[in-house]
Amino acid sequence: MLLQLNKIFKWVNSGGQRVFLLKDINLEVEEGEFISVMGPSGSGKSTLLNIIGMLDNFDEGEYNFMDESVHTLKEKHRANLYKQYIGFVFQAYHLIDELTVYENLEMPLLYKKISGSERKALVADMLDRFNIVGKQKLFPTQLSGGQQQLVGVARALIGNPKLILADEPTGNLNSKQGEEIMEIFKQLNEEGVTIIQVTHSEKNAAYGSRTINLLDGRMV
Amino acid sequence: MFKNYIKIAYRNLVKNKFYSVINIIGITVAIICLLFAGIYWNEEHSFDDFHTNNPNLYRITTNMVEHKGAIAQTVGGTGQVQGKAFKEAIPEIKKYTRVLGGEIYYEVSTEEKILNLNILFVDTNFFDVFTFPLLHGDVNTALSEVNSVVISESTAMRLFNTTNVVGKVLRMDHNPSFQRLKKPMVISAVAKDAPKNSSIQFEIVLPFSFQELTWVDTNWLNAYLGTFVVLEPTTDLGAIEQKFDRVFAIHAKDQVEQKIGRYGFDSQINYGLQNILDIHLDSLMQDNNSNIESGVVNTSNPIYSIVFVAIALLILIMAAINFINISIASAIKRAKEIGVRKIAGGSKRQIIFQFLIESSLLCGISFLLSLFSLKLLIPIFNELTAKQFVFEQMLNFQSGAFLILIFGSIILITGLYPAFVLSRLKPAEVLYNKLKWSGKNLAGRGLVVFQFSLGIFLLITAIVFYSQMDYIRTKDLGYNPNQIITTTISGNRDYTAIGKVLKEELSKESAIASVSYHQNHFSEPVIINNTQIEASLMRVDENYLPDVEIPILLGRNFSTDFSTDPTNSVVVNETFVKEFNLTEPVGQSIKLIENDEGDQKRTIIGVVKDFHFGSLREPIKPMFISMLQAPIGNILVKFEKSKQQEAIIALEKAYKTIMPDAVFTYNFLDEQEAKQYKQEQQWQKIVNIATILSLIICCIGLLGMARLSINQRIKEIGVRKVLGASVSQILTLHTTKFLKLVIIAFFIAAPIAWWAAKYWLQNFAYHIELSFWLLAFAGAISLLIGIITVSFQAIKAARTNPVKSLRTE
Repeated sequence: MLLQLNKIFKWVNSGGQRVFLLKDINLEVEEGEFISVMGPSGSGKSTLLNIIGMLDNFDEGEYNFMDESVHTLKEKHRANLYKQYIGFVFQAYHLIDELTVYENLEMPLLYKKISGSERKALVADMLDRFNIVGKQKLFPTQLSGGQQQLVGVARALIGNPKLILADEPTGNLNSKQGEEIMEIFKQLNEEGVTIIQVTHSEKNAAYGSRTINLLDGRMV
Repeated sequence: MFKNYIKIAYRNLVKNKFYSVINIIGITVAIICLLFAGIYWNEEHSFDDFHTNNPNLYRITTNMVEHKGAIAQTVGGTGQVQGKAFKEAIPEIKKYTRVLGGEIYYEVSTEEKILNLNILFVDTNFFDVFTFPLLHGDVNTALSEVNSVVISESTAMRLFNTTNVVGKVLRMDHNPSFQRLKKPMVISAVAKDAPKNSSIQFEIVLPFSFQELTWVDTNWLNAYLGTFVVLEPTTDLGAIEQKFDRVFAIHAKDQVEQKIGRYGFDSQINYGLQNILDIHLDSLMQDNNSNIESGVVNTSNPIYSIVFVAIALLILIMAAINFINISIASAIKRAKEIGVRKIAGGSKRQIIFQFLIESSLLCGISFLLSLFSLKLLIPIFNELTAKQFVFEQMLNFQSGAFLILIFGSIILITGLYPAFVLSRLKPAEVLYNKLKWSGKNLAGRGLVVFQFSLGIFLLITAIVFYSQMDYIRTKDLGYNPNQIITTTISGNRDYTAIGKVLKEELSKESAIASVSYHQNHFSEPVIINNTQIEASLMRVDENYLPDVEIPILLGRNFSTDFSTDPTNSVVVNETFVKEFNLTEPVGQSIKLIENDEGDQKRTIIGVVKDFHFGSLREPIKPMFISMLQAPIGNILVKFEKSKQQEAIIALEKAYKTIMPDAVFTYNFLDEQEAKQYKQEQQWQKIVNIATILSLIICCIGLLGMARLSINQRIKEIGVRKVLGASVSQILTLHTTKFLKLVIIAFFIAAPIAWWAAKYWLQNFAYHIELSFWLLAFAGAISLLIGIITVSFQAIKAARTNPVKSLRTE
């Protein structure tokens, strides 16, 4: 088992009242799964994804990731955990505008203190794999949305994560570009990477092996 | 990794040119100011540090309390006798040497040349006690003969055009000692010029024995020349000072008793020791007239270095505030990057480091710029501070270390806080647009208020400074110093004869209206009907009062028609009359205690209107004027309007004809008067420059803040426009927000500046009254600057087509 959420609650206090963002979430994810999280706006999809990605805290419940109980870990350990095992893909790509495609891909490796020659090989690999060798010297603003998201996915993958968390990865893309990204996800999943994606589109959800529906913070 | 940091730092710098320029200007100005302040501080605190006898080299100071504590003063010197007596009685004193000089000038001549040189009379071991290396000659025999002289390198160049001049002879024909010596003086050594940071400066050094040919002073109660001692290391100074007092009690006993019997003199004298390193910045003795021949020159006040450093730090703070505000306010742009970096594995420390690298790059550019500008600005700085710094001489290890220290601190000051704030951003918040930037940005606004308070404080100070100096410049001094050339006759000459001839010769010149003589004296006690008052004494001839246009209110001026005027008559000023409460001043007889010759009686023949014979820092004191018995003292030549050049030529011609071997120098009376405010004028310039710089930094900071704020609210502006807001409404909305800050800053700065100005003005007996209008003026200026700066940005934003700003989502 890759991760397990047990009776997760998250709330905020608003006007003296407790507003629940997530209520009693129980979820088990096996390695190699491709899960789609669906639900209307405000149902808690992104919150759930952030909790899984350890970017956000929860108020009650247990979370085990690869046999580590995340809820008992210190902030720093938790950060180390997600840095090592999780790759993130965002709707708005979130590439660093001041870095070229090549440098954007290289950045996570720099933080992992990987040697120069190895970095070069890994980045070259990624560029190759996503067919963006010709774009490596361009800055993100010089790319189309679809190309930017390709770089975004490549960047998520370069650290060789076990799990990819994608928050509406195709939300800003046209249908053709979206399809391309979903195909890549499918292929990655077949290679053994676990994927959890948040999506509004039934069509994209269909790429996954399992769909979770959220409504008002509750799994339905 | 490092390369990556530099790369992104550089790209950010270029991308945000506008903000980079703001920061670079600010930091560059701050660094230049800091460097200058550092240079100034260093020079001021390095005085006399080159003597090998340090730290055991001291001078003896004399503390005198006179008239039952009414007058207490510390003099940086002693009389002629103390040094020898102390050395004999106190074994801890290894050596002593006396130094008489500072304001003593004599004409020194070779066969071809004649120069008016600054003379130092010293004991024979002068070059052993002080470290002034000799270029030629032997230290041990340099001053051993009564006719030996040591001249400085540059004096040698001036006199002989070479420095190897040992054995050459010099004459001082009009010096009384030389006249008794009856043989030429022989140059025994040539010394290197005293360093600029030496309190003892010399052009020509003569043995004390030469000066003693005319004047041996055995009075223990005098204090006017410098006595320097080298002590055994680690001696108890207090114990030695007590021994001084014991020696004094024994030796001076008779003289003290004699004086008590004669004048009721009740002075108390104590001696102290002052390390030579403390002399330069001893402000207590700075303005003391008794020190002018103690061999120590160029004394200063530590407040100057402190003010310099304070101004530099103020400017640094302001520039740093700009940097911090801009960094944090532009964080919205950088927030995404920080989030991504954190998710990609960057730790907080790495992100702090990255931002520090960015500030280093910016500071590095500023640093190079400021070093470059420093080189260009040194002449201006030298003029402002009346120092002689040379860029090349400042390149040494010490200044290198100082530079690195400044560089490091500036990076930390400017970079650390923003780096810390930005590194704390949470990725989940910034990447999902959940980040709530409190629209208030209290810290940023607080910093702007603080910054503007400093700027407005300086502005008010500068205005007050200017007004006061203007007041002094234009104040009616009670006399007219214009159109008057002054000169003197030096040396042991027949003043009376020369003076008479000069007056006669000059009266023939059409360019010259009148010639008068004038001599200032220290104050003297005056007694009328058993009331005793210290009054200033001035001696003049009959032409002086009309020449400088001092009006006579009662009685008459001195006149050659009354043969008793020089011996019996005095003219007094209004304050004198008031102090003594005289109802019928003219005809009143007064008693003087003058010299040792006994009391003298005089009669008041006239009263003049009060005039400022001293500085405007002091109130007008009671004064009595007596008539010169012979034409001696300062020569005042009043010239006809617009005939200045002819007058100078005529004066020089007459002067040279009468005294062919004299050096002719002259001054203008009005310039001489202005000189006493030289320091204030210098500081006025410095304060003005600091004010302008700080206001510029405030403004570019405000400009940056306004632009950032408007960029962040560009959508809001678009929405408002779509909903029907006019350009002026939007303008008001955005400018008032910043103007509020300027107004708050004004209300913080104004009272503090008011108080500081009041405190400073107390130094002047005659000063401007601080008025509400002065503050209002400063407030209006700062508000105006604020409005111009902010609306510049706001107008641009308000006129943008809303479609552009709203389309981006």
